[in-house]
Amino acid sequence: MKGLFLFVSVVLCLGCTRTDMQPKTATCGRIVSLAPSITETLFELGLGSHLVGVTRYCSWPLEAAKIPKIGGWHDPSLEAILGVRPDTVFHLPEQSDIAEKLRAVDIATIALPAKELGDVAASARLIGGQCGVEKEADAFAISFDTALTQVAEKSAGKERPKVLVAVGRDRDATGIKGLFVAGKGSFHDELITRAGGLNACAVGIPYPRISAEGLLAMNPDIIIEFVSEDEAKNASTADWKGFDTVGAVKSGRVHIVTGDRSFIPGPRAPLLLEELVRLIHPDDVEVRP
Amino acid sequence: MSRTVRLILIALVALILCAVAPFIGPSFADDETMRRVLYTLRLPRAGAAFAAGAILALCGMVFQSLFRNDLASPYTLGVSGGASFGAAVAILLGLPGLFGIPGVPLAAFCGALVSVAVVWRLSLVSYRFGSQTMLLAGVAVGFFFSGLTVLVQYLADYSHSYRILHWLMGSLDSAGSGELLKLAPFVPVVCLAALFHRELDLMSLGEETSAARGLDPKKMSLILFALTSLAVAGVVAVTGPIGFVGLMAPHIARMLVGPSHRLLGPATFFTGGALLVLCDTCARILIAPAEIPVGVITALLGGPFFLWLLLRRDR
Repeated sequence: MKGLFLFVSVVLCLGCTRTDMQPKTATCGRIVSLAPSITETLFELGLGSHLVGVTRYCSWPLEAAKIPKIGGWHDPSLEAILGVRPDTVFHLPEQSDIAEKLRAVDIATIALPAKELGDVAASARLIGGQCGVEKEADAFAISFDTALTQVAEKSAGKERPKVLVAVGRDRDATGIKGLFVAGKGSFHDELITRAGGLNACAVGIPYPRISAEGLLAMNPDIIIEFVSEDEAKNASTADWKGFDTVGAVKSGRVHIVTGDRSFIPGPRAPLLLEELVRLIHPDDVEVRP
Repeated sequence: MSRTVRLILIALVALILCAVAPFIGPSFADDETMRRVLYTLRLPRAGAAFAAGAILALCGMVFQSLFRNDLASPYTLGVSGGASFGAAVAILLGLPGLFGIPGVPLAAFCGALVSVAVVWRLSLVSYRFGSQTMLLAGVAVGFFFSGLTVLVQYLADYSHSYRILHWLMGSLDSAGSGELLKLAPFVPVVCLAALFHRELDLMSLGEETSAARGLDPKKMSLILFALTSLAVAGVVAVTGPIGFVGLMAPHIARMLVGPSHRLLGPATFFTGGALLVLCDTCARILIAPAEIPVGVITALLGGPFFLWLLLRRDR
């Protein structure tokens, strides 16, 4: 009851501020984000200053790293979230367990899907509706979708080479072992298709593990290995040289792309997509200044 | 059919399976690639699968006789628990390798040896040292290390956690000539244990009986325990804990050639090897080019097959 009272008074106060003093301020006061993609979208919508809690994986934009951490995205701490006294928590649909507990103590929770690129704009609009920044959300969604379309146009009508996207492998092993790749239904599968490639791995598992034999059988024309910042020092295109019968290795089209953004289906996706187009169709994309 | 003939048949089937397995799976139009896939990938992998299966099965047989317990498996004494913990720590911290052996199998092997040493020491401390004490000590040590492994997994981030999980399923997907070489030294170790077939016959009758026949059961169990544990540690370190083969293969062999260890040893060796080669071939081809963890196949294929054997025997 006390919680409800607090919540109501907070909402009322925010309402006052919005109408009387700062007409453009968001209706969300204190926000917690439970995923890096959500954190990035919130910053895009100008709600970064409202964030009081993020996951330990939220390192972009740089300001996000300074915000208190409330756990990981698979193990958020209820105690830590309550500790930063949020009124709104944005989370992924997979985190419905913790969302239910938060609703029980009168904290507003909004599930934002992050499976496909289309979800980024949809999430922004949901956030906009919840926080009273509809205009900003609309502007962002439109520019995001336009950026995606523009990048995709660069490869439209071109021949689609077979692209294999590697997302992880055994770091201690010599050569390529225990390789995880992007299969059908994954975020990276969509990126390959939009960038004008054909996913070499047609297996209906999002991130299957493949053997050396499987790699030879798929025989991709291009291999793009995504590595996080932490693992960048251990990754080298030279690791692939044992597979010299694979088209991509033979023609020197093995690329290592470093950066955590490769794993986040968020606002930076058009940049990632542009990088992919540049690697898949190198002749067709003018280098930007 | 005499039991010796059956043993010869088992060995033949196992060898034929090993020879045929590499030819099963997607073929490559390019001859050079096909040759490389056959000789540098599939053949060593089948060899590694056979060695791993044979070692696990023999260790399972020794443990079942030693503890007079049908449910004993190579992992009953906590070896896989220690190995899993070692591997999880190595994956989390990215431990470097030594002497050309990568960090994860090295740490897994060390972890397995630590758990074996703990069980050994506990058994020696116990006043009434016996195989049952060892069994209980092993189970307790195994649970302890499983707890530690889950803790490491919990502390790890998502990608590490995923890799630890995958290691825990046990797989042969990256097994090649290197893995075969790492497994090879453990084959003679486990065969040495199987050479004690008379002692194993006596031990499976009970400690009092074997003592009455002039055998020192404590000494014998320590020798067998040391040999088999070393071999299991070697296998787990290389392949991860592949379940079911070590439990089922001895039973299948026993149904075919009877309980006398002179025939049961070799029969178990070939049955275990053949079973794992078969399962690994399925793991390789069912959803190619992706892989299914072989531990999943051993359980899915081995379970119903074993039930069928059980029902057939009792009919």
